[in-house]
Amino acid sequence: MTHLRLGFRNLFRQKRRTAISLAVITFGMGCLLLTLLHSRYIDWGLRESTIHTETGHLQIFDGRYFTRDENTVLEFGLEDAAAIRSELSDWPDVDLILARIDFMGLLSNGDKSVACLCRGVEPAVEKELRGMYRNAATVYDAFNEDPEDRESIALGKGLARSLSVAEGDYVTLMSTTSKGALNALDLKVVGTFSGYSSEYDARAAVVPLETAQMLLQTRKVKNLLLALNRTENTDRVHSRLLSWAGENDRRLDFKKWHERAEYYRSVKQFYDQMTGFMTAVLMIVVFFSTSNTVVMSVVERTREIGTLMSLGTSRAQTLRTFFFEGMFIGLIGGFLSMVFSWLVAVGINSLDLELPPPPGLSDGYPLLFRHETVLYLAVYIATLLVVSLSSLLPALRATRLKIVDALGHI
Amino acid sequence: MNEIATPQEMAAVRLQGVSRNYRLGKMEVPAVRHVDLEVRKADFLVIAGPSGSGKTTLLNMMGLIDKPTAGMVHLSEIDTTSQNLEKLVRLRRERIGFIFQTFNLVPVWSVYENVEYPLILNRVPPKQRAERVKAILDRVGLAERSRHRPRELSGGERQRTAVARAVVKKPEIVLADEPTANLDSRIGAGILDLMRRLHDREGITFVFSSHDPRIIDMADRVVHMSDGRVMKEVDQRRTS
Repeated sequence: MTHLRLGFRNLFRQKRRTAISLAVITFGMGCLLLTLLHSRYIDWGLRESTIHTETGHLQIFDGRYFTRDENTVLEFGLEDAAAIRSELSDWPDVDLILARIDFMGLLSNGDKSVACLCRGVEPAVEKELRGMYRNAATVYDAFNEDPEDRESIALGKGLARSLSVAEGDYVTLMSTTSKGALNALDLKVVGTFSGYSSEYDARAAVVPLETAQMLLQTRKVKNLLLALNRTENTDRVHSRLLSWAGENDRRLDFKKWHERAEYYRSVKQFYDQMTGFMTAVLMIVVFFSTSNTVVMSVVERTREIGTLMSLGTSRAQTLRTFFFEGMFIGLIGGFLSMVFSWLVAVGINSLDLELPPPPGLSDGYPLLFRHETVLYLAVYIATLLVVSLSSLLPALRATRLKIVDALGHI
Repeated sequence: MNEIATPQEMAAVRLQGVSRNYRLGKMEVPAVRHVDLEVRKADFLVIAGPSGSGKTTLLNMMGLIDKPTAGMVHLSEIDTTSQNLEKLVRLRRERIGFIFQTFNLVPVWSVYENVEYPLILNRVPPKQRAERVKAILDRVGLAERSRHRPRELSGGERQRTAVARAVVKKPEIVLADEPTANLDSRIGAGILDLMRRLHDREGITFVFSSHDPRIIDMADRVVHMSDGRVMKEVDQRRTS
């Protein structure tokens, strides 16, 4: 207790130096925390937007889809999608079920033909999937829900530009049918859209599911997507699907959202590497800054260390005094860094700032921080550990002082 | 507190053939040469001599904060030269008090806390600790200043605090290295008077290193040193 008290009071001996150390810790660990909070926002935002625009939480495929190559379009598509849908639709965790078809096609404006990646969707359900993540009108709003008016198509902006077509123009979409024959449909362009990247925009097209089935001459769909009420329930529902398929003797394959989200995985990996590097750099800065403070304390208090040791203070007690000093700097610095980060994060979140789009992407993304208590606590504990450990080395130096030399120190 | 009982006739400290050399580059410089000396219990002894005569080195070895190059140092008949570091720390903590020329108080502690510290190290229970600190502060005239920090005290008050810190644990011996050197003559005389009274009342053994004639005059025994050797020993004990 005495050495704890001494360690605490020592902070106030050189107030300016302590203040500088605290400032370095607050700024360094605060910036680290901000980086982690932003990274967590990116992770969370990208995860949820990927799920609600692209992958759903779970996808259901025919059991052969990933093990064998298709000779014709939708050879291993889902034949009984409607039955599966009706069985799963009343599961409590399942909010939505969507069907999709992906296929290659050739789009022509009469003068020019361009290869495209087509997706057959159910516009109304896709709109629902986007839910809260839809902050502006989407391409699905363009589709008329009247079943009589299904022969429509939405084009990626780059693709529309390449074909020199605009809303209201007609294009011809050609593809091989599920039997291997060639088929074509004249479709009205009802809108354009942009996706993650300009490369995607230059090739992508969306048609209603029935239109795709009409073109491909099939009732099959490629896969079914399940949107759950909570992302955290993904694993549980996945397990339930596996047992359900086993019990009902259905040869199906189930993929979780992240298995189908390559872009998400690469972005997450990038952010993990970046934050890992920043964490290391900032912790080293904080480590040496605090270590320097304690080194200075040891040098300045050499005579006092000699005095206390001559009175019978053991090496362990001397070590503890300096360790406690570092620990107190860590406790205070950690707290200040949390307050600093929280204030900055709240301030920036309220400003609605947007970062420019990264190279190759079409849209910018918001500069936001996601407050997560666990991150605040992790950084606080890390600060405490790094700062306490940084004081150990100079504290050990203090314990090795010869009393006579220490007493003679000027 | 003391683990070995010390009969009255035992020496507080006994030095036998003690030498201490320091290495300066490639040179061995002798600071103390072959000193035999016995400090008896309740002695009021001064090691006198000019600067560089080896008196502080001798005091350091008596206080177990320096080790002799040769010879033996006995503290209450315990051969300290064969003790490990932990044991030496315990001997210092329990049996030896120090008073330094520059007071060496902990600046962030109050007078009370500085004086209390040796008792905490010796695990004296809080109630007993408080009684002893108050009693000693009363005796050195610092009861009113107990909450003050060292920087708020005069030089004399600081040294009285240091004296209180040295004697509060009732050590077997108090070693004072030039205790009046940083004080003016009036205040220095007051400090000496205080130590003399503590010696007379409590029977504490005091050993000083000094070339201050007032201390030398006040001492019961004077050991004169020069060039690291004891040149002569004078017994000045007054007979009543």
